[in-house]
Amino acid sequence: MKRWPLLLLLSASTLAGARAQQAEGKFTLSGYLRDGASGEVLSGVYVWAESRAAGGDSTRRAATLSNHYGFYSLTLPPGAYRVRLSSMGYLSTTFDVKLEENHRMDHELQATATMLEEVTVSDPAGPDGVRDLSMSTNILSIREIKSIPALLGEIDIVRSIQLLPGVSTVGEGSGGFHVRGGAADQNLVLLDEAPVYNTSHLFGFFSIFNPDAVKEVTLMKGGIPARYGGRSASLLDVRMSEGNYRKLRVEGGVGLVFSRLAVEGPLKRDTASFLLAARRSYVDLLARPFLDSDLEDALFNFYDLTAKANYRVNKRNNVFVSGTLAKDNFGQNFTFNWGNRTLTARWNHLFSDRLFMNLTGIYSNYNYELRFGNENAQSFNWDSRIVNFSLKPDFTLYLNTSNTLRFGASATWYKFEPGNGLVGNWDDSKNISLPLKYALESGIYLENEQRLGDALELQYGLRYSCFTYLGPGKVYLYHDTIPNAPRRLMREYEVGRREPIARYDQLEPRITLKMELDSRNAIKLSYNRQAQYIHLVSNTAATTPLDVWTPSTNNIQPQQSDQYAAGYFRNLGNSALQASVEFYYKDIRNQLDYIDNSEIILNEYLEGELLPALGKAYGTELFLAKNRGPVTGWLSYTLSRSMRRVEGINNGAWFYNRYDRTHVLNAVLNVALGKRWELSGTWVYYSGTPATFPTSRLEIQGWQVPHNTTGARNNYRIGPYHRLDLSATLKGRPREKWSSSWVFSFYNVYHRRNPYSIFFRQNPDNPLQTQAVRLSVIGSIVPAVTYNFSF
Amino acid sequence: MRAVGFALTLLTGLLCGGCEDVISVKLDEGEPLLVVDAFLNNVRRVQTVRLTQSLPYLTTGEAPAVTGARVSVVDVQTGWEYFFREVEAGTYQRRPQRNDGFAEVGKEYELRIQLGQDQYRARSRVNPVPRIDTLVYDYEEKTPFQKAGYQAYFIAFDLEGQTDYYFIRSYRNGILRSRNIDFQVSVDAAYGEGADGLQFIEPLADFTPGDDPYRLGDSASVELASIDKHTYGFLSQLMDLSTNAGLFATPPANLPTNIESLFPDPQLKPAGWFAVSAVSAAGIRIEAK
Repeated sequence: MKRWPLLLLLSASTLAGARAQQAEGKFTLSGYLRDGASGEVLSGVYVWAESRAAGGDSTRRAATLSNHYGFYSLTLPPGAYRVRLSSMGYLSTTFDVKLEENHRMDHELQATATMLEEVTVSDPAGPDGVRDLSMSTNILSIREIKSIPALLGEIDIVRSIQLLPGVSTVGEGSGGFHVRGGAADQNLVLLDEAPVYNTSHLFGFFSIFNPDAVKEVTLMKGGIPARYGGRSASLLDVRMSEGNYRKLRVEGGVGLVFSRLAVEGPLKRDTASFLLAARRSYVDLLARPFLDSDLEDALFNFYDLTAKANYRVNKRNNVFVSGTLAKDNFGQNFTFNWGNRTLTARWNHLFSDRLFMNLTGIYSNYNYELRFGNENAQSFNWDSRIVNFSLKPDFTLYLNTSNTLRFGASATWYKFEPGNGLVGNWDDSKNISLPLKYALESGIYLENEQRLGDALELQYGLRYSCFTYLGPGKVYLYHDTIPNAPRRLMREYEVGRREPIARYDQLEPRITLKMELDSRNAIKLSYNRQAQYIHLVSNTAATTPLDVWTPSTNNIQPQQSDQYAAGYFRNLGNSALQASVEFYYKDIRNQLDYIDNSEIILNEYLEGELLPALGKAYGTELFLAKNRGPVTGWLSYTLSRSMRRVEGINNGAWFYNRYDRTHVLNAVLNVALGKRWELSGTWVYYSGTPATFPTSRLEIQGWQVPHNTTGARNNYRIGPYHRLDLSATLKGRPREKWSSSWVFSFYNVYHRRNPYSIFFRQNPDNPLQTQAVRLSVIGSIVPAVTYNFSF
Repeated sequence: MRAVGFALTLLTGLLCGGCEDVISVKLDEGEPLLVVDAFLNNVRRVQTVRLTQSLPYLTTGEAPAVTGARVSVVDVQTGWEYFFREVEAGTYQRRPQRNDGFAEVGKEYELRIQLGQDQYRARSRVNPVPRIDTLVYDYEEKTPFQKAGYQAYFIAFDLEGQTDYYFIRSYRNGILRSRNIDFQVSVDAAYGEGADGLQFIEPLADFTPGDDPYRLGDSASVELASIDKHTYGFLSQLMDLSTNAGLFATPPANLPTNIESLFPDPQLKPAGWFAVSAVSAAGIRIEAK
């Protein structure tokens, strides 16, 4: 590994830090913002300073947002200022500051009693689409997520973001999601900065994020700043709560699928806190007494455990450690399990009141395991995993009121175990493992957020990323690609430890521009180039727990995408309504595709069966959101296209991706009725996904084999999908400490059998008859009730 | 890997059982193809090559026979030609003679079809097959995936050395068990390379028909046929086609063919498969112990 980028950054940061100290004639107002009740830090708080020059001719204004760790910094000329702090769900606060020296000002904000409390409209509210520089970004607080009706009453992060514009899925119960026409592996999913390689519980019906431990979810579909890298489509940033710094709290719930319990509290008041949240499915426990004796040993459960501890060492240093363990277990005569493990350690350090550093160390591990048979007789054991360790220093330098500079680096070491297998045969056994793969990914970036006058704001940055596929490992050299046939192996050989096998690097420019036409209208433009060096090997419609990740190798080129986006943002009716329309166009290179009938599991020569695909996607997204008042919700509509072209598939012509949906409409509505009832509903409409249908049947050995003589891929569309969900929440009578609620939910209210896919088969009763069969994953209304409590 | 596919299908089946509806769709019609169905072996019984035309997918009824073709199989080494006679429309058969040397292990054979002006060719090599040592059966109680009844297993060892491919089919009272696509293929004694020379692992060795086990008095028999790598590919893809539905379906793909037209642009483009196998067979009658 080359250490120079890191050294360079460190020295740059020291220099910048020194420079920052010397900023002449200006002083810095900085500090941490926290929740008044729990003491947890608040991110995304709008900090607005206005000079109060006595009889001043010109007023000076400056604004910033608190970062993920609640820190803000504003450097201003000396003088008297009125500072306002505002954030969604919190009462705005105003105070006066006389800035004559650097001023540290930590502040606590009080939450509004409920979401429906009308904020005084003359106040500048929290960040909104017009004021905020970022585009193609949606933030969902856990409060919003909890108000969405959920399948089987289980609040779910991944299902919630599927209601946002620009996001689609291949269908119900599928684990992955698709952002702006990208594949499922093109989303970087971070849980407290640790990458999550598979978010699924129960094959994708639920995700592994425990809502009791989550604070906020950010989805970036475009305009992604240079500080993020690694995937070519989107970023889903899931942030965990810190845990209450003031008092011990217990939260829990009993639903149809999970039982949940979360405990949080201070380890030392206002200094250290912890959070511990656990969920377990208990269908198996409930069912046990009713099962036949032969099913008693059947395994059927999934659980997750999330923990976090925080320590405020002093005014300049904070330390956080968080981790997740999620696991699914299935089996009877076989064992099938999979799980994620992540561990994140972070250190926040203030070099000065203008230079903030976050140093993150990450461990992430995803694995699955399959076992058949008996140890002492015949057996088959198979497991696979991906492990990574990362180190990531990130710096923010609040240079002056017009410039916020960010720079940093990251280095990730990967170990891929595509499959370790053992076939046991009484006293004999054979190892059928596939060779391990190693890689190192690193990146450095520099970005600046710059304000040019009152109206114009820019964020521009450059990321340099670099990837090395490393030994020890086995290298395969193949002959040229023959369309849609396995490439012939030319040679294979072993390489030693740390020996580089293939090396790639890319420059990734990013730029976002915002022009505020007035306080209610803004136009934004962005361009992004993103590189992706690791790929998910999956040729199924929905991602499966068995999908393995592979590095870029001498045979697999890194993916790259270019995205152009333009948007118009408008605030309506005292900013209670926010509207936006965005257009995007995306080019994608080197997506993975597969030759027909490729065998992706247990195949040592898989690299010879991969095909590089060109992709393009474009669309329009309309979004209208109402965040305040007794009625809240949003309406989103997406019109889009997502296509790819692969030599040898569909006769080499462009074809629609399996997840392409022309129209996607999502409506989310939440109504508060009195003090105790809350009603919510969602209605979704998706155009049908493309599918490949046969033209002919061939009779071979008595089987009727479907065949398409035209070679077309995705030449049909299955019917549209639409669904209404409703839920009602009844809050318990307010009591001293104990609070509770009942949630009644109905999924698929009008009982529609939505198509997931259409497949073709021989009639089981008459082999000479063939038929088309529509498969629905959930074909009826699903009612559920959940009881939640906290004290 | 089939077992994994099976586990997935099973689990998703549990999750969303009963959500299948037969629907009517309108499909494009493709051009008709010549479908060659020629799975031959060294068993001393009538060997059949069937020639049919493909049909639009959703039509009912048997495929139209292709008649009047000249069909033969040639021993590539000696040039000896074995003729197949059309005994009924589209069915070309040959009754093996004692010591006629057809389907000898190690030899390569070429299928030759002459149809009007068009000529088609395909080749297949006969690989060795191990003998089946013995058959065993056990009475097993009902499980969620299986009715109560007798499960039958064969004991055999993969041939050591090269990578071998096998095609396993079973019979109940002399009738092939498969109405739908229901058979197994293996690489050596397991599902992937690496199980060379081992005893066939249990999921493969269990040749009990589908979800309907043998009953007392049934005759249970199994056929282990050697195939080459390409035939293995063809059959495993055929198997995938029959289970390729649901959440984790892969993009449907056409089955490959090893039938080639000697001339470009034949009247009927070829599809289907030609394979010659060596077969080990064994049978047993299920009796109360």
